[in-house]
Amino acid sequence: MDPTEFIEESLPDRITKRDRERKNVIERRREERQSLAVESEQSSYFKDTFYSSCKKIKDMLDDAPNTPSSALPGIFEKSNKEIQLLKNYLSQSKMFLKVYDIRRAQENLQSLENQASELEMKLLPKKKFGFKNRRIVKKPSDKGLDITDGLKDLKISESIVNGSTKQNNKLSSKYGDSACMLLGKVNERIVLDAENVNKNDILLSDLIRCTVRIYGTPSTLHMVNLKQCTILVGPVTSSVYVHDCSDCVFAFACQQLRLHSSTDCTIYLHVTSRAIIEDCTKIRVAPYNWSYEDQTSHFNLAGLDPKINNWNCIDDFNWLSSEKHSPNWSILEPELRVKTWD
Amino acid sequence: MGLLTVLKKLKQKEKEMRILMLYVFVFVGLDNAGKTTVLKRLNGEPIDTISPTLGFNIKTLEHRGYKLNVWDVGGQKSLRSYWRNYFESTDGLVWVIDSADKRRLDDCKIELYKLLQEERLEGASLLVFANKQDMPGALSAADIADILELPNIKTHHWQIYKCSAVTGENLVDGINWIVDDIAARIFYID
Repeated sequence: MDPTEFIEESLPDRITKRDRERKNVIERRREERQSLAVESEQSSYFKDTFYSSCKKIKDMLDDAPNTPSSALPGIFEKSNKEIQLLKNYLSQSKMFLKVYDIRRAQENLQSLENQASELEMKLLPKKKFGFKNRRIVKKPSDKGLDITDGLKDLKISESIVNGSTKQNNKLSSKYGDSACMLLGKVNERIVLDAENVNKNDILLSDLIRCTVRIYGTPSTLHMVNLKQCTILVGPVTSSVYVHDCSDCVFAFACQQLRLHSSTDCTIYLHVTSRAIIEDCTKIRVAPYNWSYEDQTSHFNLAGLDPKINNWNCIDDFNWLSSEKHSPNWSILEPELRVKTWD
Repeated sequence: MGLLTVLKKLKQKEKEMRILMLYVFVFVGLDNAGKTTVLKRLNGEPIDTISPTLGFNIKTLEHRGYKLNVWDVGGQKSLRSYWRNYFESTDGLVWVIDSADKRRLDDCKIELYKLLQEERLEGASLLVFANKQDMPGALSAADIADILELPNIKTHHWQIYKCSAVTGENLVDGINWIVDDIAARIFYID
């Protein structure tokens, strides 16, 4: 560089020039920082979205007492789902939130949850179990067996248990029965209705040559020691647990199926996660094909996706080789499948 | 004492602390009790796509500065005989129960007591989760403690918590208890 040129520039000029450069650098850094901090990761953004959806849920719940009771289950389902979403959002946002904010958000969620469950208890009390007249399939020959006559208010296990089931009988009397049960029946046709079934545990035990139709969405379904039965069930919210069954035909939709010590069963299955079998033989599977009027809404209520069905992927605990197919279960040939259930 | 020895001692202390901080848990219980669901809920993962556990899951959770190595072992009959393989150096046992499944509580009791006889589990703290309290037919924690005769257990520190993996109720409280219990025990031995 030419020294004379350097000197020619006056001192104030050089100072202002350097000052400008310094400011430019600061400006650039600031812009960089801004572009890094994503808008959605700022606590003010979190607060806005979080509390606005909190308020939405609260409004929905506050309106609940004034809405017709038919719309209530939908409202509660929606509010519970929203609360769950918010919980997930909160746990994902924990990284950039202050402890105080997290605690306040949690308290908010807790109070919302409490309000929702209290309202649900108040507005939608669980119905007592009992049979209804409507859908009972009557056989003309055995009128004496019509269990609806005058027994509406009796709890089912009290009316049906007749000493033939040993352990279950003892257990149910010992611990009470809020779940609904069918125990120790022979040669009967039984229909359970959505009102009694929804959100309840169902136990079918020690049945021989029975046909059971369950319309609705049980929370879980247990089936024990059934022989030559046909069991048709709507969408089950969580799991179906079966053991010691033989010569049966089942049709149900569920999230998980666990089948134990059973043989010679055909299952028309809709399972959204996985089915497993253990100590089973001669199990045949086919896709769920039983349908009834309100089934779509029951799928919704159970939270099952009608489009996801892993009916043909079954894990066998007694067959861990992945190269050869388990000999204990097979897919039922399409031409052998039941076409209509009525 | 030279500087080197001081440094060495410090290092050793640190190492000991690290070992103390790492707790090994095993989640056991009958099949369909909700073990995997409890674990996934604790870890903040989605719980609506869980399949029955074929074998086991391993998870490392960070909780209040403790590192928890969790083994979630499948509960099927054919897997129960393998449970014992997971018990080496186990600090805590988390026994998960389906509170709504009254039929199998007897079964559950038999398996639990079989487990407590296990030599390798000697001294491990036992946390019982009375799970599925969100279900209408669920038994209370007190009833379950009665049926399982928990008060008769003298060989292990135990505690029962009612909980629900679906709503998340009480899960963290239970884990807090067992972590504190193990911590107290280990410092006491020191």
